[in-house]
Amino acid sequence: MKSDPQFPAATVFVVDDDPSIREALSSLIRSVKLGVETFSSAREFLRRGRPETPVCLILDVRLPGLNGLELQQHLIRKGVALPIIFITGHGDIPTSVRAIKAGALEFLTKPFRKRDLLLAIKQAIERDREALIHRKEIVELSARYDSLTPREQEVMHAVVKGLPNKHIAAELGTAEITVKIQRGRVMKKMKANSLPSLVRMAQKLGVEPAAKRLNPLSRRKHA
Amino acid sequence: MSNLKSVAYWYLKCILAATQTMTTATQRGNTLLHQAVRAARVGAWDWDLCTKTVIYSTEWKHQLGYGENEISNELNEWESRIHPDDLPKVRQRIAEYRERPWPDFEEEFRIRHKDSSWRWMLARAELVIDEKGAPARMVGCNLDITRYKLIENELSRVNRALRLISGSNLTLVQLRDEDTVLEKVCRLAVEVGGYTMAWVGFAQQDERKTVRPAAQAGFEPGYLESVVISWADEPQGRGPAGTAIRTGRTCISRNIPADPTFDPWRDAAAQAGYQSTIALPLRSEGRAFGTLSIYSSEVDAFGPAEVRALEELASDLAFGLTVLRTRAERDRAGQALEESQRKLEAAQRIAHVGHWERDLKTDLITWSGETYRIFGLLPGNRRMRFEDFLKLVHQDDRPKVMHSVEGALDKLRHYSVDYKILRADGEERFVHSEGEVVRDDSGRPLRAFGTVQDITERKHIENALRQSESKLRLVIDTIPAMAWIVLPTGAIDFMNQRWLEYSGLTLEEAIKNPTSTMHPEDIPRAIEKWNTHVATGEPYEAEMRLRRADGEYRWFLVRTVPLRDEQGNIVEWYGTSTDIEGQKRAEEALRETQALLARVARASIVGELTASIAHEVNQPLGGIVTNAEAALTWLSDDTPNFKEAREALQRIVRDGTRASEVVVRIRSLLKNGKPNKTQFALDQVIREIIVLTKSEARRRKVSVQTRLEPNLPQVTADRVQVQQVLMNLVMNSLDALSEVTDRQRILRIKADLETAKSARVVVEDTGIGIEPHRMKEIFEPFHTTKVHGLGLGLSISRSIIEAHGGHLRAILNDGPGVTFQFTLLVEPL
Repeated sequence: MKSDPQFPAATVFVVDDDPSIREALSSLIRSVKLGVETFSSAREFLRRGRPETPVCLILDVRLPGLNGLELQQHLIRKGVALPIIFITGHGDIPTSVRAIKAGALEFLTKPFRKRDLLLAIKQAIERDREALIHRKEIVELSARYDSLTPREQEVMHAVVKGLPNKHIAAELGTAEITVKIQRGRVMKKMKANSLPSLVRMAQKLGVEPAAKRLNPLSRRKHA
Repeated sequence: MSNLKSVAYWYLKCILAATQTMTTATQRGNTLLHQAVRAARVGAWDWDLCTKTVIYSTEWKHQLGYGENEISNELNEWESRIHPDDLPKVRQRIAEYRERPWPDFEEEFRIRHKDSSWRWMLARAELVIDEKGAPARMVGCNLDITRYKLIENELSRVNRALRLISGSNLTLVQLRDEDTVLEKVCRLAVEVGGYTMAWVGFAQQDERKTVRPAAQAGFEPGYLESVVISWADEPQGRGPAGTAIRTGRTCISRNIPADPTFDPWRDAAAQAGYQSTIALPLRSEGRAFGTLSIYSSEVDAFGPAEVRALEELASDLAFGLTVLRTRAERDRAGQALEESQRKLEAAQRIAHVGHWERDLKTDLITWSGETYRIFGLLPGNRRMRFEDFLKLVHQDDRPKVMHSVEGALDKLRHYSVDYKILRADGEERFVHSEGEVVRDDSGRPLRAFGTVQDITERKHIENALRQSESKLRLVIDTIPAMAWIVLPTGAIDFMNQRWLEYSGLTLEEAIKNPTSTMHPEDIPRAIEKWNTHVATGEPYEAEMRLRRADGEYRWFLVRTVPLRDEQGNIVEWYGTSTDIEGQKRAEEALRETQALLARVARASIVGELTASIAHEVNQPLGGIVTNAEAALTWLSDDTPNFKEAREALQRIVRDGTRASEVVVRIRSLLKNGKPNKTQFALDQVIREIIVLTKSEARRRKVSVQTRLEPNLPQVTADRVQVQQVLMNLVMNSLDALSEVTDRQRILRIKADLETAKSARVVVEDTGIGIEPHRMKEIFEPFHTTKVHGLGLGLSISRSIIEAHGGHLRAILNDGPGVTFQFTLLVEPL
């Protein structure tokens, strides 16, 4: 596989206590021009911070100390989103089900084929890239949202519900013209060029009541 | 002091006075006096104390056998001839006299004659004072008193001998014990008789005709012990003592150093300082039975009168000894008679022997008191005929008694018969009767007499003995073992019926060839062992095969114990041979079953480990596949990266080896081989087990710590079995640890040397442990605490370790968990 512009500066993390596996994976991953970093234990890996570049984690289920599934749970609790590809010497169904349910991307049994692994890595990195982009957008939207005055935030909530200005003015007990001005300010501050665009932003921010809370980050916002 | 001597003194005194006058007279040429002095045979001398010269008179020189010109005027002429024993005394006396001339100078001393003999001299002297009153000269004269001296000696000796006789006679009268008498007489000879040594010897009637010293007194530095004295006519018997006994006459050796018959003892006598000896025979009834020998440190010490006196002493002593001996013999005989009578009486009483007499003419029977008592009757003088006696005999035995008595009267002289009697009180007793028939010249029986003895107790004992003997034989013949007796030489003495039946041999055949039933392979070992046990007297135990009558060999346990006499010597060996064929077969079956069980247990451990093992194999396999694909990728690039590809391939080789090692280990654990002892490093095996169980430990989050002593010597054991034990202990610990939630899960494996000959492996965990009351059960088979356990692991482990001469035990830790430890011998194969 050649250098892929889709994988700029992507890094694969490998956590396996077996040096044979670490070395083999390292070599294979480097051979497809991907960055690779290996760790012999969960603890070692946790000392490495998450870079702001697309990454994926190849994680052995059996590890000394914190095992693979426990590391996964630990990362979820810490709110670190990271696509995980589990590898195991002897995949048993209950373990793989738990891993997948907890959001693992793939569950590979050793020895695995290069194609399966690289496919999984590709998917994982793609997903992480998307997640990174999404997260960047959220961060930006949040900053814009935070720049709104409380009144403007109330106006925005009402606008994205699809309420006309008059209703909003009545609900907020203010003049329609005031609402109109405030609405214009919201649109400007949020850099929304249309109402649908603002609604999408509100959805992404999770401030739209009917919208599903897709992102854990949004929940944090509310906290 | 004898009169002779007094006369000599008086005479000398006159002569001395004359001599002094003579000196002056000589100057005046008075030859008459000079002649008178010469006639007196007095040796005169005149010692000038200033010039230290001495004028010796001609007579002085003649006294010593010298001519006028043979003696100079030197003081030395006198001093050099005086006896060395006497010189100091004489010199001292002269010095004293010169200091203070009182009492008169008068000395006796010996001086050497020209013929080398010693002459006794009596010297008298006076000091001549010069004008200034200082002693200028000493003038003296010597009188030869040798003859008087001899007479005087003889007299005193005779006197002593007489005193000796009287003393010893007194002793003989007073004392009864021969040894004391002899001792006393010898002591008297030395103390009263003044002799150097005396001993009494008795002629032995042995082959060498030795003279045995019986008593001794005086100076005797081992002389009698070192010499052999005989009374035979040979060199050892021709000394004075031997001669005196042989000839019955006194024998004197007057000068031992010069006496050729004294050759055999000369050196010993010289050492003791004996110069002369007299041996006096001790005679009784014309025969010498011993000798009294007396030694003197002087040559020719025994004068004629003295010899006569000593002969009298010997004669008295011999007589006294004879009397003593006769008296002692009579006393002894009397005592012996008394003793034997007393013993007879006691014996009769104890033996319940009575006697009887039957007058065959009147048919009257007389009984002794004991006979009455035997028949349960009061002793008395009742008249009894033979038919009355017969009524007292048990009716069953009457024909027997009649028969033997009649037979005796008919033709025999002596008869004996045992029969039962019925006492008046109804008690039955056994008696033994012996009788003799006295006949007249024509052969007609006159009377019969004899003894009757109560032998009831003896009969009872005999019966009991016979019964117990037959019982014993019955027991011996019926016990389910083969019993036998062997003499210390190895010869068979007895074989019980069962042994004979088993072997199909007769006792004679068995005795002829003691090893004939043994399996040929067992014979050398059995004989060797037998010999060591005979030598040490230790009980013997061996397993061997013995041939049955049908030719089949069966295993027996042969045991022997020695029977010793009172001195502790082994009299015979008692042995049993027990058939253990069934036991042997059961043992073999058990061994096979155990081996099978051990294999099953190993397989079950491996089964438990499947997941772990799969992991161990899968891990390198995963590495291999991934490395292979990496290598392919590196090579398929536009610019192939050979370095990376090579590295990947090297890793493939490494991981492949690793995977195959795991497989080999598992196979060795499952191997269905016979126990095979080899030498191997214990730490190596421990490390292998740790590797095999590593993923299992990891899965259960157990921290495995090892402390293996470096340079552990190799152990000798079955490697697979030791692995099995270790695996078992480690897996148990891991199980016990996986239930622990409140503390660290630690498994420690240690190996060290317990003693120089034994290595120890310790498997210690912090697991849930075992309840103390169940500690004993855990090694029992089919005891398990696990849901799926067979309960065989520890039981098999223990039997494996014990089969290796080690021991496996479990100890509850002070803290949580259990420690198992086992030992293995490190001794060479």
